[in-house]
Amino acid sequence: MFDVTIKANGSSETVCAGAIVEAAGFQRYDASKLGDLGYGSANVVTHVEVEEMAKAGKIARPSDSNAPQSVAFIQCAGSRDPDHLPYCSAVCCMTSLKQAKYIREVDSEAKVYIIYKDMRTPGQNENYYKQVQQDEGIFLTKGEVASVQEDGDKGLRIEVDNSLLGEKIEIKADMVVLATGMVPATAMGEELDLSSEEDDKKKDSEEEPAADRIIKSDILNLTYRQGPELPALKYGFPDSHYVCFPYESRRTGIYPAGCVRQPMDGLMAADDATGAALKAIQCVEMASRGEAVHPRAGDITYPDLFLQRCTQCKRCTEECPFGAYDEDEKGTPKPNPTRCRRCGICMGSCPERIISFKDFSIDIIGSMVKAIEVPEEDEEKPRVVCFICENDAYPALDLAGINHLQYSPYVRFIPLRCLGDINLVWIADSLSKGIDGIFLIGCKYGDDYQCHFMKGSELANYRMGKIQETLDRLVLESERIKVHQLAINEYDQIPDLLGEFMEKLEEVGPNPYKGW
Amino acid sequence: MTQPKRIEPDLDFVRDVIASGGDTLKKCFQCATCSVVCPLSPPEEPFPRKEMIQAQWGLKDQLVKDPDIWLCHNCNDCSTYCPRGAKPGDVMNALRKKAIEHYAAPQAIAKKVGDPKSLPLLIAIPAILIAVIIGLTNLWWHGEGPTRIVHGEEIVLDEVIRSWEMIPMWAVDVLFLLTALFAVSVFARGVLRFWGDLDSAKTRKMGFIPAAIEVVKEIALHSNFKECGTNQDRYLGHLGVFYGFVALFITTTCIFAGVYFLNLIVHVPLTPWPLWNPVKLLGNLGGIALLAGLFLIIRSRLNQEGDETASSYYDWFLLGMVVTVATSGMLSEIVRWMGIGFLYYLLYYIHLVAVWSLFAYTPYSKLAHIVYRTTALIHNRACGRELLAKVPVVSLTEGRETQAT
Repeated sequence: MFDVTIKANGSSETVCAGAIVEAAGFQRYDASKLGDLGYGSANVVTHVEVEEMAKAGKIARPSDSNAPQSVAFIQCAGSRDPDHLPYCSAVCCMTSLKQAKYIREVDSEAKVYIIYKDMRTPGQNENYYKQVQQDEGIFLTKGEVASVQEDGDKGLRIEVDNSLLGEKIEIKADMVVLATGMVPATAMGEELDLSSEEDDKKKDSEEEPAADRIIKSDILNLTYRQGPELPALKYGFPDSHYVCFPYESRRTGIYPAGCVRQPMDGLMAADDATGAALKAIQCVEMASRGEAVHPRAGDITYPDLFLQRCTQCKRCTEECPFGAYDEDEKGTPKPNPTRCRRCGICMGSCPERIISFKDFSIDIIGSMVKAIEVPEEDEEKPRVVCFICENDAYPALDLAGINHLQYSPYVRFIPLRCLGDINLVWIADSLSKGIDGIFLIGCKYGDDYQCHFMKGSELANYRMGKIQETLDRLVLESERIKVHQLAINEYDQIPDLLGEFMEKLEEVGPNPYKGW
Repeated sequence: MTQPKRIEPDLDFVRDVIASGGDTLKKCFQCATCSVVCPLSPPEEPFPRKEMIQAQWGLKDQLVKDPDIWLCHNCNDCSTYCPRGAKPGDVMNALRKKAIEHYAAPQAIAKKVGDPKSLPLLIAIPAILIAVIIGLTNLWWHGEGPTRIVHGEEIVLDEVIRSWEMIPMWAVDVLFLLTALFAVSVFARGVLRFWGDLDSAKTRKMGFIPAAIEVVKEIALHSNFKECGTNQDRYLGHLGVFYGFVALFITTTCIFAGVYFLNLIVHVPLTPWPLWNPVKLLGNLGGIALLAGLFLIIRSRLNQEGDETASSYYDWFLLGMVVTVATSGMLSEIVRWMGIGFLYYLLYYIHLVAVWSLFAYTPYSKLAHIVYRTTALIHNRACGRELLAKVPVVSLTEGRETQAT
């Protein structure tokens, strides 16, 4: 549930909303950064300006208001370029083709040049490309624009390297149009500095997961503890789990759609809006029943916090991937149940073990660990417990079974909602019980993460990096614990993974705590 | 840093190429499949890919002097494999037409030859010209009576049908010699300009004569044409037409020399010469080869018509002319044996009209390829640029070994 204050035309209005679709669109890349392509000369314009001229009824050279006899379109102007926008904006090729037609339809003697890196006209648009290509006055070539220079009042000279014409060529044109790319509205703004003063104290901060990028784009202005906007993934697009679950963002109930999510054309944006709206409807419905949304759809439990024992360490409020916790001045977490996705990462994060769910708690998993039968040392049967993510890794194990793959019989599996649930106490419990090795299998993390809760497996990896303390206290070898990231289609690696781990354990020898 | 080449597309040239059978030109998106499948394309600066984009961009100046359009023998492999249906084969054909037009003078005639609307005019010119000559010579020179004076001799007319009873041989010869002279001078001018353009573009490594000898050998064997393996019919057809013309040229030259020069020394019988005469025999064999070749060419054109290639008016103009020459020639001979005088004279008249057209329009028609293709081949050979088929094939493993060492 959101209390949304909308400011418009000087007045403001507050409404209550169950879900939000963020479709703030894009802005064109700032062409003033494209001086090397001649921007700044009177007759070098962008798509937007040509479109405005077309709307006004006449495409004219800005310098003398005459209709241009020749126009050169430069594609990927500041796009697919590491110094500017590294990505493709999906629509500029079509826009240039369309605008080339504007010019040709008015003047059958006009010449239009299109200099491209690659023509990208996906799907049905390919037919439009073919049709425009048929126009005798439209000249296309791949090439790299070396320079755009003014040529007195005669127009502009464009030097093109590596053209398909087999040599460096020079074209004269009355007007140059730059096909500038899309910048998501969410990327327009200052980046919030989230590095707290505590970070400076931490010496081992190299292993710490990178802080979320929050760009103050002034779109949502959330009052969340973790920042006013959606966390940004690559290039300032909001993290919307594009790999598996488009529209899902890291703020429950907020669904990005359209060009804030990825560059796309109008048709696709309309489809995108439909998708996001359906997600929003589901969210409102489920919230009204107190249920979690994707991926634990229908879950009606909540994390219970035993706040009397809270030490205000802020781990949970920092680590929750969904910003579900706000905090008071002292740092005591203030949970917001409707933002919660029930991943249990807070449960894993809490050093005081005060966060649990009714059906999924520190004690429940701890009891499962304690219930594992550990053979005596003289039985020469090692015992391994494998904490495994139920989203991808556990189904991968099922796939291994379906495919009759054989793996070590000494492994016992405990599925978790997310590998991020892993709490150090379970590791300590396992080792002190005499279990020889602990294997953790979660999803891939990084820029193209597969973790269903975005940060879970990364956090688990980070926590295991800090396990040394526990091992030292128990005087145990670090090889007894291993973390692995597995994609669901890598099920065939499971026997070898476990096999290698068992071999390693054989080298290390049995856990000396057996039988205690 | 190299100076960039200034490009100024010629929109009219693009329109011309499109109108001349290259209507698929703009479909090309430069994937280079054409140059890869072409059995003749050289490894350096291969065709027809570069010609496709140059033509799309209307770069007339580069294209008309481009020797590569003449290295193509139009097997249409490129058009068959083109993923975009851009038919590079047809475009190259249209470009050759534009090149012929460019070098031919006066260009007005070239424009007329390439334009279907002018066809009646082009037929009317020789039809009227020859009819007038027939009329005048009959009035002025023949008069009446049972005798004719041929080469200073008085001949008594008999039952034999003779061509010169309609039109005196010298009149035909004077007319055709003048026409041939005209054609040759138009060619000479065009070829000299073409050669100059070729030379300024690329330096030769070999003299003209040795290169020409190799090219003549190549043409005699049609070995490049044979490399266009997809189209065996066209290779055989072209071979037939080529040697048919060679045989007919030799026959005509022999008769011309016999009647005008040998006659001064020994008595040369009046034409028509008997069928067993070796010269006559050669001529008839040539005629048959020509007809057979034409049959194969037309059949393959009709079979191919459609997706891969479309024959243009320019193609059919030349074929129509040659077909008329060959059929009217052979039929008139047959009719003469059969003794149908009226039909013979009619067919012979048509034959004269067709042959005159062939002579006079050659520098402007597709037949001009005889001269420009030969020139381009000689220059190409002189530059030492090998066609792909002649480059020794290096196996992949060999290549790797050399790379390793």
